[in-house]
Amino acid sequence: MIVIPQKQLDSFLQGKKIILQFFAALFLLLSFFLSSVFATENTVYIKGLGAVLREQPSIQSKKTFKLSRGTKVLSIESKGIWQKVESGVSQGWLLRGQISKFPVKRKTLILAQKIQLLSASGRRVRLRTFSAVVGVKGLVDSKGKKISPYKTDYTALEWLEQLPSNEENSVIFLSFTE
Amino acid sequence: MAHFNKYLWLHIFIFSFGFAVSGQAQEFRLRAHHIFWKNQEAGTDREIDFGRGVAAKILGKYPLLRDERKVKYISQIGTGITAQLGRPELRYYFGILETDEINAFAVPGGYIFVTMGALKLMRNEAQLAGVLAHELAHVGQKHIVRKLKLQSTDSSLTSGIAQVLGSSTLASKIALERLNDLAFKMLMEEGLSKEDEEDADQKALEMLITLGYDPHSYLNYLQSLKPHLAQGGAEVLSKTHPTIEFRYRSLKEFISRHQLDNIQGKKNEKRFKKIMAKS
Repeated sequence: MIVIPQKQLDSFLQGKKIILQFFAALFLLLSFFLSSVFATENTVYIKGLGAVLREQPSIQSKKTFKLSRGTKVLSIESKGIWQKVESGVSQGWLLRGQISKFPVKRKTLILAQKIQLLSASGRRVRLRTFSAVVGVKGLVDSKGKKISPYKTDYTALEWLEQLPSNEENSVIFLSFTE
Repeated sequence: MAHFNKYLWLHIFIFSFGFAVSGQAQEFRLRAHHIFWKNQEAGTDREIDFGRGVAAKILGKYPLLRDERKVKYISQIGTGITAQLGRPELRYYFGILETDEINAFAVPGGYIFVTMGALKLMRNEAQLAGVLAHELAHVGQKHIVRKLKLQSTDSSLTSGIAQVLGSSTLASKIALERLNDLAFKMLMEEGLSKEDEEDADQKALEMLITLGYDPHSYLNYLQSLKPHLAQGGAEVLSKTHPTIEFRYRSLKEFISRHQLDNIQGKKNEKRFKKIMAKS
């Protein structure tokens, strides 16, 4: 515990200049922390492809600027389902579903992990092998009774998983209007 | 020494202010942020593992339609939506279930299924996009994972799954199998909460607007479900979802609250019918 002699404490409290400096420092410190809290809360990320800034919060409004996936932007204002953001020099409105509070992460691919099955031997790989085995036989307890009463079909699931998919092409396909 | 003590507090504040504005503090905040979302990424792996088991159970109940033309179409629409509005870390899969029952399912990890019965009821692409968007909202908001109460004390929602999957003992495998069964039962019998369904409906409407589709088509689809629900053509759907009246009213209220009445959009009826007509 810090003991401050009474005499020093008095002189400290009486020194108006010091008190002024004390509050100035406190104010600066607080304002920094507060601003940093707000700054990090305001930082959002563009979630997907095809995000375009608009002049006004309306679907009919003019498109001004294209933003790519993962771009860090500052949110300024929100109005209903619309969100105003700032990216560098450009400002504009987006729909709130297009942004996320979290940075964009790399894709987690099941098929890519399956290829690892041949070469590596990690925990994940064992898990995958496990689910494939369960898919065929079903998990049984020590008495040989099935744990789950439900049937599974991993063959059908794998048929679905091997179908190709391309995000860019799909976005173009979706943007078509009759 | 006395001089130093006199200014001690001032020195402390100047030092901490100096630290706060320095690059190191910024670095520190970023690192904290980074650790936070890295945990979430670890959870994603496990979420997919978990979801895969549930998806396999759905395919054990309903056969998968292996019509590449139709599946490719649904998948392109779905992927087009998720590329713009989905969780960027997930690769989504879209399947069609060969049953006349009307329903659609969303499984954690990004597996989305629509039944043939629901597709037959739809009139245009905007309705299909709406149904897919509703399911995608469940995945995006991690509704099932949340309802299974898999949260643990840290910020990562899926860490409960992570704890179960983390070890490779038989006990943990049995625990995972039980969790899969719980999620499957939730999809088939218990359903999510009324609030989660309401949330998914609203998010679906927002997605349709973002993508330029006609949001009113989704409301029309809900209306068209009504007679089928009454006849028992969608037993699972009526068991697991709030009534159509509630959902319709709630969406109408959402539309008027955000002044979305006048928003028009594309329906792409021809393209939808062309692909659905051929078998």
